[in-house]
Amino acid sequence: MVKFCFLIEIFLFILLIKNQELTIGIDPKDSQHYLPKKTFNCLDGNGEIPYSYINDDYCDCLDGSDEPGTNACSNGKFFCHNEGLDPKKIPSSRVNDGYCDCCSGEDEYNSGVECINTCSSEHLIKKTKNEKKEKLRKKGSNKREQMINEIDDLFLNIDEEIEKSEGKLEIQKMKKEKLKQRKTQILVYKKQLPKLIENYCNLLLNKTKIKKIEKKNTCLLKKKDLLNCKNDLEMLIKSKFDDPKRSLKKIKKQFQEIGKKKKVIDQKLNRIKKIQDLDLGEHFEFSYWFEKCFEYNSDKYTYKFCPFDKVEQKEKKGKSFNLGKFKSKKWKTKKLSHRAKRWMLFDNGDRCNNGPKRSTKIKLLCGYSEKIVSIKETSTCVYEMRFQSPLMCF
Amino acid sequence: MLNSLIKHSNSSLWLKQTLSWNGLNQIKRFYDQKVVDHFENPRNVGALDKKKQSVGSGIVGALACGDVMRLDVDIDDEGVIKQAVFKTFGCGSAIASSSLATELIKGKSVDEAMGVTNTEIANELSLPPVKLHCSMLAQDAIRAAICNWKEKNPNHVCVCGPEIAMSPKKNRIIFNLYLATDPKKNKQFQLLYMKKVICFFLFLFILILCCECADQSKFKLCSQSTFCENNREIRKNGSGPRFSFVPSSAKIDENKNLFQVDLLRFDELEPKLFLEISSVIPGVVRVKINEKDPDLNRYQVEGVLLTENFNYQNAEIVTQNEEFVLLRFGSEKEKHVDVKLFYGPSWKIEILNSDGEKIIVLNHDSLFNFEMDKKDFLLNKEKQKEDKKEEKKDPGKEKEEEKEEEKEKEKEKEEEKEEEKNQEDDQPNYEERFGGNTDSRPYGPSSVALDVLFPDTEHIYGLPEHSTKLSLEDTEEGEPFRLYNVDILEYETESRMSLYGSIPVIISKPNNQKTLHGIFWFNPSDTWIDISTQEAQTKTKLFGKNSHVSKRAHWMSETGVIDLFIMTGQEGKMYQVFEMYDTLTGFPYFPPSFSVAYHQCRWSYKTQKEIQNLNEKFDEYDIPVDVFWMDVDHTDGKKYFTFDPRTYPDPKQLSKTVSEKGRQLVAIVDPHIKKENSWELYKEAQSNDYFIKKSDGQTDYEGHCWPGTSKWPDFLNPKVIEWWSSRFSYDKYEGSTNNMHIWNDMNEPAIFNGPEMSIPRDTIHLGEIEHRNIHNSYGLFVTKGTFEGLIKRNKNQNERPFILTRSFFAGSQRYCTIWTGDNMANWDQLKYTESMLLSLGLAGAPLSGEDTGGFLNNPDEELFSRWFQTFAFHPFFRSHSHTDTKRREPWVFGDPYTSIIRESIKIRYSLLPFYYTQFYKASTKGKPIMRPLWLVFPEDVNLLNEEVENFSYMVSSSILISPISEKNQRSKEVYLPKGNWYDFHTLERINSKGKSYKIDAPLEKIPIFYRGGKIVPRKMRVRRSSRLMENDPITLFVFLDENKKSSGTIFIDDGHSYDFKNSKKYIHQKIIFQNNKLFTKTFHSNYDPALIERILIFGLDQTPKNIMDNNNQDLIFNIDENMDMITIKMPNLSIGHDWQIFIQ
Repeated sequence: MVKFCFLIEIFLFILLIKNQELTIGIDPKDSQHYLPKKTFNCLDGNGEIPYSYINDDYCDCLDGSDEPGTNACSNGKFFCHNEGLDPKKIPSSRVNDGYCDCCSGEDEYNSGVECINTCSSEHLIKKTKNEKKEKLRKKGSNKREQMINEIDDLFLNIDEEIEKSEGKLEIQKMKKEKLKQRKTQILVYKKQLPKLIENYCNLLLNKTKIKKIEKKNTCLLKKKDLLNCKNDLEMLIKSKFDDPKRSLKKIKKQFQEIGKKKKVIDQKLNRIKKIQDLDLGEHFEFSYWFEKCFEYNSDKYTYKFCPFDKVEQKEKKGKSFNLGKFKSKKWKTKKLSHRAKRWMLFDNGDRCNNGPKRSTKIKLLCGYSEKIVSIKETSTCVYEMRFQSPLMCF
Repeated sequence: MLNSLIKHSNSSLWLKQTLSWNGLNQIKRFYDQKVVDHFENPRNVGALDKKKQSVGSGIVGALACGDVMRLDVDIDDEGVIKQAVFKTFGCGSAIASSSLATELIKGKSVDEAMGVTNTEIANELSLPPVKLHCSMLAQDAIRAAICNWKEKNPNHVCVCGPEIAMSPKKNRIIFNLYLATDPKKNKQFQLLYMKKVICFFLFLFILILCCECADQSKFKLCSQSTFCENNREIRKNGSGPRFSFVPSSAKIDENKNLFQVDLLRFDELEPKLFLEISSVIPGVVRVKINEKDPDLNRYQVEGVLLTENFNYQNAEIVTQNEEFVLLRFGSEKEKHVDVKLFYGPSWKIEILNSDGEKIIVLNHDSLFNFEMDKKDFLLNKEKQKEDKKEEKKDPGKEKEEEKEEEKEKEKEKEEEKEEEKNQEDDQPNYEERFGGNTDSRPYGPSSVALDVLFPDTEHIYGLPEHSTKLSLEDTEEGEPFRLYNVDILEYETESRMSLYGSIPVIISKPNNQKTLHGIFWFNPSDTWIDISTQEAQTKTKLFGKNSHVSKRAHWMSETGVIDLFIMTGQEGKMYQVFEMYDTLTGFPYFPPSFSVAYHQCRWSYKTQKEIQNLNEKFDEYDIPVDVFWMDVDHTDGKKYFTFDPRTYPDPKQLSKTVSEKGRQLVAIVDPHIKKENSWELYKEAQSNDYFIKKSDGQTDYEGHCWPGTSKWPDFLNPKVIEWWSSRFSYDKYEGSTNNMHIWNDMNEPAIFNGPEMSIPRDTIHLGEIEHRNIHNSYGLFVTKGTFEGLIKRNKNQNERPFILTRSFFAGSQRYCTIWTGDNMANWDQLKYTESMLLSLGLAGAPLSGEDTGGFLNNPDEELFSRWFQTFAFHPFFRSHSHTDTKRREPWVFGDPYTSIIRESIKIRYSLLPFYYTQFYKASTKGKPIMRPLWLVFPEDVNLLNEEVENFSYMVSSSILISPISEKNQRSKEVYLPKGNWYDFHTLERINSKGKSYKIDAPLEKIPIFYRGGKIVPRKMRVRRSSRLMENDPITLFVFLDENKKSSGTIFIDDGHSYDFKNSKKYIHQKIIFQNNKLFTKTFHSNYDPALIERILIFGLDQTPKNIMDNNNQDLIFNIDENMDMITIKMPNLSIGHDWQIFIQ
């Protein structure tokens, strides 16, 4: 009886192994297709084969689905269960090729290579790494909130600001227009003045009209010489009436004042207009980088990264090169929420000797402080920079 | 002045260009403003009085761009540079560099000035890389000037001193130019005007040359090479020296295998030449003409031929009369070769096969030439030497006497010097100038030339390396083919200019015959070959007039002897000639199996991390790869045999990491040695006197290469080869491992500032041998040293090396794989590299490939994909790119291109068993791996006139590939010779009648066909590297011909050791299908058998009932009737066992 039990046990054991071999490398999702039946239908529906053909180390199905556990099919996939860590699929060409691809080592069950199961240790590493990352993310995320709160109102109401400024600009323009009109008037007056005086004096000397003038100005009546009359008149104008020279000076000053005011408004307008077309993020948080630059020192160079402007490389004792101008069209903050797309692109920089124009890709990472982490030249005059900021901690 | 300039330019085209002001504007756009400024307003032009104690003068030249620079400094007592002036003959960058250099050093102390580096100058001016040498020049000029001052003021010690200063004598032209620009001798106004005009013209001239067709101007045309022009002149005028044989001197030597006869020139009394004819192996006749009693032995390079101890054939005189002598070599009836020698005055030699047909005629058109006008000169030289020896003996005398005699001696010496000068003036001057360089040619003209006629032959092939059509074209109208190994960047297609390597072999295909003959012109000096067609009409009784087209090759070599091997093939044996050639120069080496797989390279993967990253990336994209390459940047300051500790801190770890996935590394090792006194390797070579010497035979030659000032080991010296090979041992080459292999680049040798980008011809090797004698074989000897090193580095000396070379000569196939150098990413180059590789294969170098994707420029997605599709079938398959190009690892372009490239590489991997077998066959039979169609189908006359545009090639005789080499081409007319062909992709059959078929070629595929009658072994389980596929089972593809027959062979061994040779551990098996039976024929089986997982039989045209093995066991099979394909599943058979399968 004991013997019998023993035999059964062995039988069960063999069955188990056999079963495991049969189902090795199968994605649990598809396991219902591999249940023992008379025949097996290739998963793509192209062909029916005897059940014994599964994992017989010969590729029968075009889609490779009959050999999930061997390397017989060039297009097959092997499922690593990787217990303790995430499961993954590997190309079946890596099954029994002498290199451990699954952390469990289950891909090398028949190659003579002994794999060390690294799933739990990898899991641990991954876990601590993830925890660390998460901690950093949280910390960064808090900072991000803080930064969002600190954002200048200017950036929040850009359109309003622009309207306001444009209104102000309009007023200044109108003022300027008025001033211009006056100026032309004065100029005309200035030009006509000598003639006016002469005419006036002639009139004075013309006796028939003396009386009328007498009423206006008694002092002039005393003079009878034309020359004297002119001088007197000029003196009089200078002291009493609007002297055109003085008026012009005054107007010039007013013009300058308007110009200054306009310049200030213009500058502001230009500055905010730059941002107006920029994608500054949902909370306008990226305005934080506006007009900021970050520096990085390597052995030979100092690099300068000005987020919405340009990237520069300066030799320690020499000239600097533009490594690219900001490509605003390629900047979409919505894409930033996807992990793979956290890039800022700069191109059209200074031309390389014999080569292309310099360009730089900035990889944006989550980090507590804002700084350039690394920079490298991936091929001649093509740079890749890693930059970290709490703004990237979503 | 201007006239002389115009003469120098030799071209009216540039004049037109110089006169247009657009040119200047373009310059301004190309260059930094500072360059233009310094060029237009050069500072400190002039010269100082060289005789003054305080003045140092340096003259340096980088004639790569035709630049010469003189820089004078005036230094005060405290060692501060008071004044610095310059004169420069050269391009704008050179003028600007020197102008800036004078500005930089003024007011600096001597030591500070010595510290001015070329990078400082280059950076200041933002010089483009092609012009960096100009800044190096300025740096050298500063140092040379200061060192000159230090020599005059010996209380200072001269530390540096790149000794490339040249003696003024050799640069007379340049100095004339100086004079014209000398302010002391001209009015100021004139000077300025002239200077500007000259500089402007020079600037434009150089710019046009450098920027647009730079390389053409750097290399000689036949008309610029005295001996080539002279020999061509002889042909035009029939003005050559007349010789005839001396019948009375004709004899066969004691060993009865060598025929000798003297050759007498008409204007001389004694014969000075003699001719020897022998047959070194059956079917091969060697004809040698040398001087009888030479004043100076003509050098015959050793180490090119495999051996000098040949299996000489018995020679006998069959008939002899006043007119001719008929010789017979070889006793066997059908294998003998006859040689008919006509005594002259227009002597000629006919080589006849055993049927009495003329195969080759030597000196048919009396173009033989053998220059010897140097006797007087040599006598003088001998005298001088003796005098010098006597002088050397003198110092033995006592001191007092010496003092007394000193004054007299000085006088004597001065007199002697004057005498010498006079003597020199009396001697004929053989100097040859080119591109600002002067070749002293101390031994005078010594060229040899001979014409070889291939009777009744329309097509001749060979003479690699040229990017021309395969069938050699007539050259009468233009330049001859040239063989002179040079580093030629951006080479043109359809050009007969010389490239990186040369094999002086012509293969001829006689009309209407199924055989090939060959000529091996054994001469490694500068060689030009003119090809022409001759038509002769003969009258026959039956057919009336009959015209015979023959080809003629006129060989012209700069020096050496005439040493000719004529390889005569027998009718019906197309491949015999390759075996003969390889018996002379060696069969191709059998590299390890990984070299058959895919190689990934770029200049450069700059850090260890980058390669580790590639190792992961290829897996990520599921693209197989076997080898990662490390170009120059992996070294510590371009000192080969080292690793840069900052970027490659742990090469051994790197090696281990890649080897875990079955992968390998290749490191570059170039033959230029950095001149750095603190470097142990340099010191070792220096102390042992291992470097090539200048023309004086005393001081080491120095030139510019990647590391800056460098020297070149004299590989002609056996001790140097021994030393070089010892440097590859694991303890000396720190960081190297057994899965790191070697790449020999720049071994022409390439030298940035040398004449024609190489070493001067008058430099001296061991035994006072001038470099001109051996030039084309230098690269071969470099690889020989490397090969021996890689053998020796393993204790058991049992590992097969893998070496890649750029420069090569006949015999290089013994040591290395060849690649075609720095090609460009354009469609034209894609088109022409195929014929370059075919030509290499025909000339005995079947293991070759090129930079897939093009080294220079950026290929677009389509070009890049097409490149991979066809080049995946070439023997050597490596992707490589210039550092200035965009990244182009296979995944860079994204899908569908990444998938296309992945598929191409995977096809290659699945064919590895087939390719490896072809490599083995090449190493034992010398058969080309890539073959022109006419070689496989010699009876098909349509194939001989193939145009490049419509061209296809075969891999072995089993697979036909028809490359797509036009943009947007989506179908192609493919000529298929008569017989069954099976589409590689769809496996559909075409029964060709011998005509063209329109074949679809969408982006995803190019036309490829299996040939009916061939069995192709493949491994369908493609892994990430070839080593991981070692134990995988094999699938046999059996393609039947019209007679339902097929056959194929397979070779298997461990893939890396010499066990197949030393302990015969290998399998070599033939598999045959005939009479509905598939069976094996084993040549040798002594290795682990390889399982067959599947057999596919195509074209049986019948539905079998049963398929059984030789144990009467039924085999599982299924039939795809649409495709006429029978699949036998897991037949439980192995390669290495004998078996049979019956189809009923």
